[in-house]
Amino acid sequence: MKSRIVILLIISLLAALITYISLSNIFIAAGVLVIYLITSLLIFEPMMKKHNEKVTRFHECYHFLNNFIISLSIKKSIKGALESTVGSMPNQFIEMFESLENMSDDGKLDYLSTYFYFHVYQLFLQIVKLWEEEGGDILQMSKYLISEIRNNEEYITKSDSLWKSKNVEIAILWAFCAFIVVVLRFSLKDFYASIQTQTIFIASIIVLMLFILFSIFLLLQRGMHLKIKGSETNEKNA
Amino acid sequence: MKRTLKERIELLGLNYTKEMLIVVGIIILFLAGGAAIYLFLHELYIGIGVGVLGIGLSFFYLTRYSSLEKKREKEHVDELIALLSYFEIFISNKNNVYTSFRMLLPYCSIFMEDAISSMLSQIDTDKTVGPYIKFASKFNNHIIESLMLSIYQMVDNGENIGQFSEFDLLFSNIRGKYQEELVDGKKKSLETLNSFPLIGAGFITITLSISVISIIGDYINVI
Repeated sequence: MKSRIVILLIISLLAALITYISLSNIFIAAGVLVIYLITSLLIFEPMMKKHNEKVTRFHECYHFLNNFIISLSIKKSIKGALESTVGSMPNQFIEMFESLENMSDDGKLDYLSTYFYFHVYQLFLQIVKLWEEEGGDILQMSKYLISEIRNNEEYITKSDSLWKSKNVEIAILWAFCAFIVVVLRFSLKDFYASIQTQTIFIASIIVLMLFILFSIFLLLQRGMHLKIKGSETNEKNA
Repeated sequence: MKRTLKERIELLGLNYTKEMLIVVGIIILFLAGGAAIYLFLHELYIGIGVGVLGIGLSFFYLTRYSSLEKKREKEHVDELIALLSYFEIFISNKNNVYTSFRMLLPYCSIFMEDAISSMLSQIDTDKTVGPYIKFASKFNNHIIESLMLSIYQMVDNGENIGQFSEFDLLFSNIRGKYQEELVDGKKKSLETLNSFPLIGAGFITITLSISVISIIGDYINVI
């Protein structure tokens, strides 16, 4: 099972456990568990999957373009550059690339624009076409392209590490909040039994659990938002 | 030029009639809720409060267009800076300024496509700095104006390498700052989420306090 699904399952179970400890009501705890699981599997997991795919794809694109340009400057042929670049790519890419064996080398490069859907890849294709038509120093021709890709790569790396550190920070703060509820549950003892039956308290615990779910949604939405041109198919209509 | 509310809404790509219906809907819903509270629960002040809340919410809904406009302006500047990176790639590969702008069109949003196409058609008839300044004025940002002037100087001086270096120097500084702003913006947007657990803890503490007070009240009544 994928680690992100395990994490989402643990969060759902913890939310249900805290609800049960606070209210001693198995039905409400089960309801919270169902809401968390549905939201996690239908919204959070696809969001995380899409983000991971985009980041991985961009890393691959960065790796491919860098290696291809350097290989092209040495081997001076598209075929030779492709051969030495593809060998250093991940297995998933190699499998996809092997299915293109009937295509010409230019055709393969063109086809890869559906795999590397970023604008930088389109720019790369234009430079390669220009190099094929007019010749010249490919390293010099793609100097600004490489700088653009490197900037994007740095931005993705910084954004991701920032998001990961915020995840830990916010998880600790929510853990403290849950700790307050649990401590009060056991410190107030008999008094708490009366509180648990009050509608306002039951409603507030449910609202708190939904608020936590909403904050997880915002954390994912804001943390996973990356401005990479071409990565959003609907960007043209923005 | 001061625009009417209708023009501002339509410029944001929203439907004026739909927006007005939402505002009227919010007011009617809350006024009806307030009236129902007064009629069925006989709570006059709560009823008035709900009605006032509805009017406040509709006012808040109407004032959000300014922030939407600022957000849209920022998005346009961000897009242009990203596109100028591509422009730099085209220019460095011996394309002239005009062709390089044309080559940007497939990567543009609808707004940017219109703005660049309009500038290019103006350049066809007007060889002065006018079209570049007019284009920059759409962004309401002095940095864009400096960049466009620098691009014009490149054209005016026969697109020589020296002028390109000047543009490159200016643009690499701006791009560096833009890159930092992107990460800073993300940091700020994530930092606002730090307050959520505090709000949650505060909320649960207040609810517990209310519950405890009401139980103590019940005990006192029994005694």
